[in-house]
Amino acid sequence: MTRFKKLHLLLLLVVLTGVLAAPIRAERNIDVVVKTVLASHGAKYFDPRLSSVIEELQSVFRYSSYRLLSQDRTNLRVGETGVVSLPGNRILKITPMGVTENRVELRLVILKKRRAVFETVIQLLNHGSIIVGGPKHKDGSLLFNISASF
Amino acid sequence: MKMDPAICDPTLVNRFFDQELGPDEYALMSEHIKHCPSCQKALQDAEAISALFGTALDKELSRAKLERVEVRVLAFIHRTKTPWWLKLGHLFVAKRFYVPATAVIAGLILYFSFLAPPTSVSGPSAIINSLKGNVGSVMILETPKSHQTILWFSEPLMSGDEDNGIEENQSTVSTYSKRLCLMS
Repeated sequence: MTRFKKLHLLLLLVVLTGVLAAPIRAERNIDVVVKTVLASHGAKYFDPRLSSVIEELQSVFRYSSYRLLSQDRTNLRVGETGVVSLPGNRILKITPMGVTENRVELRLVILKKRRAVFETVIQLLNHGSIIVGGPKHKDGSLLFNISASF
Repeated sequence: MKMDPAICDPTLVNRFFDQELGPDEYALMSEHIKHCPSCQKALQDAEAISALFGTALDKELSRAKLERVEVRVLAFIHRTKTPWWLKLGHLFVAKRFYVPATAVIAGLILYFSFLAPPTSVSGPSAIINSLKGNVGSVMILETPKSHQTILWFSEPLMSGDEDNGIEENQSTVSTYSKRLCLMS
């Protein structure tokens, strides 16, 4: 077999791998990132690590300070539950329920002192994010920027 | 020397003159010509013709304008140049084109299959399927620019809350109290 034939065979294999990758991707793990942000009306402060999020938030809210409190990353399979500790004795439970073409179905449960206070099921775009917010904390409100990619 | 009728041949004389004979034949013919008047005559004729052509050729070459010949030859080559569409066809069947092209296509497929995030977003970033919980109110918002979904809820008060601090909104407390009364 000549060198060129070997090369062609290799390239064909690569192309086929790419074409057949879509169903394989559905089996892959879901990478979930949770950014916990404290938004307040205090002294003006925009955390540079939140520049893209703040731009969106500013179009809806009028907070003068956005501070990143923590960032958690977890890798979950469908049906597996990840737990993220939040300020104020709160816990966020994240469970991927399934994956469609370009969205992942997530169950989000926020517990406070071991009691579920809020539960929602969302369909999140691949590489997209949702902001869940409202709980009061210190002199402001907590925002949870939850993003997922698979 | 005795004459050999087989050697006495004008063709052999011509080959002798053109130095096309082998070493043995050449030696034999050379010896023969020394003693054969007819072959000597044939050899002289060949030399005369050769000299005549050589002189004429040199004369013609000295007259010739080679620059003009060069221009004409180049013009002819230019006229008979391969058309661009044929060149394009040749390019596509050439290995130097389709091997790298296949590699680039394969690379792009791999990149968009595994690494690249989707470039366009259709609809909101998140679709809310269901909501439940012991919350005061819930708002679902969408940012105008990138359709970022925002889910905003107000948490119920719980005994021993420490993180709410002294700025706890009294009106919220009374609202919850009223709701609790209504529920009961």
